[in-house]
Amino acid sequence: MSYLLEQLLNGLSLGCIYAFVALGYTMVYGIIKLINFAHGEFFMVGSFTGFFVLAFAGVERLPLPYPLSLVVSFSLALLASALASALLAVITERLAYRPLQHASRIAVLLTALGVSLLLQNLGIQVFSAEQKGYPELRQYVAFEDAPALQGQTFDGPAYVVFEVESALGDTRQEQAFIAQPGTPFDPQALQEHKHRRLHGAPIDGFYIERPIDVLWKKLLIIAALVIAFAALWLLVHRTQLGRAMRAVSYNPEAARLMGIASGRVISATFFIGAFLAGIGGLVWGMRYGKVEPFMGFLPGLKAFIAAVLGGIGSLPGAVVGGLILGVLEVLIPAYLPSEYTGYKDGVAFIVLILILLFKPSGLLGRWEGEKV
Amino acid sequence: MTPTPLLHAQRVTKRFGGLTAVADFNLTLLPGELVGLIGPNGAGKTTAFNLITGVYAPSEGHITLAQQPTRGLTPDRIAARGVSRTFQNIRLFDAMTVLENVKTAYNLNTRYTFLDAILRTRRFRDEEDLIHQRALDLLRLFRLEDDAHARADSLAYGEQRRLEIARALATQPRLLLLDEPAAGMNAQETEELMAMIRDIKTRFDLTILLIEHDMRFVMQLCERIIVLEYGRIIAEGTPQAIREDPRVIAAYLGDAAEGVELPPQEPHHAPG
Amino acid sequence: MLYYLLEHLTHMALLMVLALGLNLINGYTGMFSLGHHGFFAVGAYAAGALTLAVTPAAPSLGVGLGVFALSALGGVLAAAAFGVVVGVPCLRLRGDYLAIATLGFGEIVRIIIQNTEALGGARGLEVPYLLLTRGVDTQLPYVALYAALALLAVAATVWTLRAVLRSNHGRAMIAIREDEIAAELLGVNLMKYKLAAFILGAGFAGLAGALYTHFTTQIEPREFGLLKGIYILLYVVLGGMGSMSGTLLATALLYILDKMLLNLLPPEIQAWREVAFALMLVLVMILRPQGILGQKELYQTRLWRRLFKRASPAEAPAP
Repeated sequence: MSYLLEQLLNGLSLGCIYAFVALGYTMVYGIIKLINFAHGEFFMVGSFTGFFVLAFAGVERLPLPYPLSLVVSFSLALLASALASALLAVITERLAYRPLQHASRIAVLLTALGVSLLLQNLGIQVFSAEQKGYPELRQYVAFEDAPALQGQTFDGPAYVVFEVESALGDTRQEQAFIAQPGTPFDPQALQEHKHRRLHGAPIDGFYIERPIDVLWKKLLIIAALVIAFAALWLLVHRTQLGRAMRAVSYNPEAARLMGIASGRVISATFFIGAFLAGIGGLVWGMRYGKVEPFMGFLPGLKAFIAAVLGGIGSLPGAVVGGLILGVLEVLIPAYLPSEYTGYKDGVAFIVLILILLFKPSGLLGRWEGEKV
Repeated sequence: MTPTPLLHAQRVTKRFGGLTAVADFNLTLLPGELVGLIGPNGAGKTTAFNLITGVYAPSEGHITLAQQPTRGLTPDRIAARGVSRTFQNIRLFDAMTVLENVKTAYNLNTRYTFLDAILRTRRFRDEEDLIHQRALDLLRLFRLEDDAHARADSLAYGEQRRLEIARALATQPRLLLLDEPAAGMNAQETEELMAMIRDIKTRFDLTILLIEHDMRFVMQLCERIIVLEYGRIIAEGTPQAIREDPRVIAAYLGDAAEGVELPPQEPHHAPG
Repeated sequence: MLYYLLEHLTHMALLMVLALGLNLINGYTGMFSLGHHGFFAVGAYAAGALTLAVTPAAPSLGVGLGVFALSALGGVLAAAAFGVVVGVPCLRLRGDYLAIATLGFGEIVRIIIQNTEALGGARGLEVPYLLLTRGVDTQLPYVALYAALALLAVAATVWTLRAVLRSNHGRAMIAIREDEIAAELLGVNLMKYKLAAFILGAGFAGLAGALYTHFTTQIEPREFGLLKGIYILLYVVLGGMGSMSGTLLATALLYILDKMLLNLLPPEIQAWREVAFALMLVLVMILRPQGILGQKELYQTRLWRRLFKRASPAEAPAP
């Protein structure tokens, strides 16, 4: 693949993740005119939830045949990430934003910053500040099924997980590799591990990591955005809830007089927006391989910039803005001399300032003047 | 030969998207005139004010002030050329005192610099004293001197309307635009307001254009009346002529909610 | 002990200068800047770079004093000039958009500093001692000197802002906060006064930055991140937007709480201080969005009158 095409694909897949996050930003802004800085933290919590589901929940041990088991465990992680993020968003809106319905814009914006900081720091307390590697999807194989795999080679390592007792008396988990990627699998390698224990019980199987090819990952991210956006579009334009959301966004007072419970519509907006951000979080983790409590802030800010670029309040705008920003952020440093790569994070902010100066309504948005 | 007009609007049109708020608006104000602008709600009266004061730029046509075109000037520059106004929904500086509200409007004629203020130079002190005196004089004229140090939003409704006029006069205008000055006032207050407007008109040598729904007020006060409907001027003339104009009667009968004899709407504070 | 107190006092006073400047922009003129840390950084780095450029190998006290004054002036001017750079394009924006744009400028400043070798890049910048060396036996005079300078800076800031706010220029700024459109229609030049607020606020941030550089003699880009900006904003909001004594009070309260009292607690509780800080920010916004003093000054509060003045008839309690 040519360098340009590869970079373009990198940019598009990054842009798709920005779009996942930007959609929620733009929906919330459209409906209550709040820059929800905490949206990036919903993304972070989604990413961590996916991490825990994939690494510890044991979803890969569901009694399913091999390729299907990967699809199911991925789907469960996706659902868990999206729901965790969405629930957190609904709770945040209830506790922090709703009491400020009639407060000044500055107070609300500062609250959003505060919630963002709060969630980051809670994240440090709960998840610890250090960076964690994101797990690849993996297959679980019981020992009795091992002989059938003899001689096969895998794209990822195969290993058993067991417990060891340290000199201090506490136990921790360790991995022992039984096959390296690309070398033929030999069931004999299992023999020395069959006596080991995990959580006090004898272990009965091992894991094979099944990493998705990076090219496929990028393509899947793009496909996921297309599906998610289509679903969102149908939801907003074809359902009662969507009509209510548009009504509240257009004129909250009138919507209330028409009997639309704007509180519930706002909750639903936060739910849907953060649902998408949670998916973005999982996808980000799987694409870039790391999670940490601060991971949401910068992508969150950039997603907001994407929303502004596309025209805040516009759903297609969020997608277009996200894609443009992602591509610019990858292509500009790719074609600059290497001493400028440090400016990568500056690209988004320069885009922001330029768009605010020359077309504050964004590429697809409309600008509302102030009434005298 | 007629004297040079103070304000001249020629074929001014203002569109917002698909909506034409003001169409083909012509207006000539001679120095010293007192003209009323009437019409049903949504007829484009306030939009006309916003065009004259530079809040909006006309989509078509042009406006001249003492024969100078105003296109491209920001509202504060137009204010510097002698146009001042009040607002339909009172827009005072709520958290400032009554006196400070008036003093702020002397900003146009403030000569001392930031440095003068920081170093408290003689120039600063002299000018501040002068502003203080003039602002108090204006407040006295509008019988607000006792409340000089109260917050502006603590005033009663009628007092707030008076303060807005006092503040507008502090910019030392030649042309004063009053947007529904009598709205929300009772009969006695309206009577006093009429006397006050006549008084300041001669005292400050003003030309006044006012929007008002109270027909008795307009008919008694104004020398000339312009009637707007759907953004267009449908009639213009002396109070007597307007009263008898069949198009005006039709326009007002067609909009019963804004009937000629109905009292003005209740006061309300629209948030700024 | 006195040494630590003076050291903390210096840092606190510099934060006060920063917060007062931001209060002029956000509290009195009613704009919403989220990039005050950027002005602080420009002042600090301009002073640092200038110092490194002009200081001879072994400066005498006279030369040191000259360089110090020159670099402080340079810091102020550079930050004020950057205020113009940010202000001219951004001031057409309102509310949230202005906040985001200034935040963007703040981040750009940090990214540029981080990637500029001449400014030390990510490692930071180290400047020589100018007025006094911070040796083992001169520690106390050193911090005392800088505490005095920082307090002087606070006094100068309060004096300047008070003088401006009590003039017709300051009234124009407050009028913009109260009602931008009405102010403009009454002849207030919006651009001029918004820009003036930005230049003054940025200039004082530059002064704080220059003093910070000379006091610590070592600066790193990560000290000038968005978190610093949020802290400064919190001082302003907690104290009350549009109240100078409120800003001073809130800065002192939060600084003492954060840096001094919490250090007395056991480490496992201290780990939660950032959480507590953020939680407090949210709670203050929900429970008392106008801050401690709102738009009043300390001497205008009822408590102050009760404590220090005889009630006069004109000061009957409000209903």
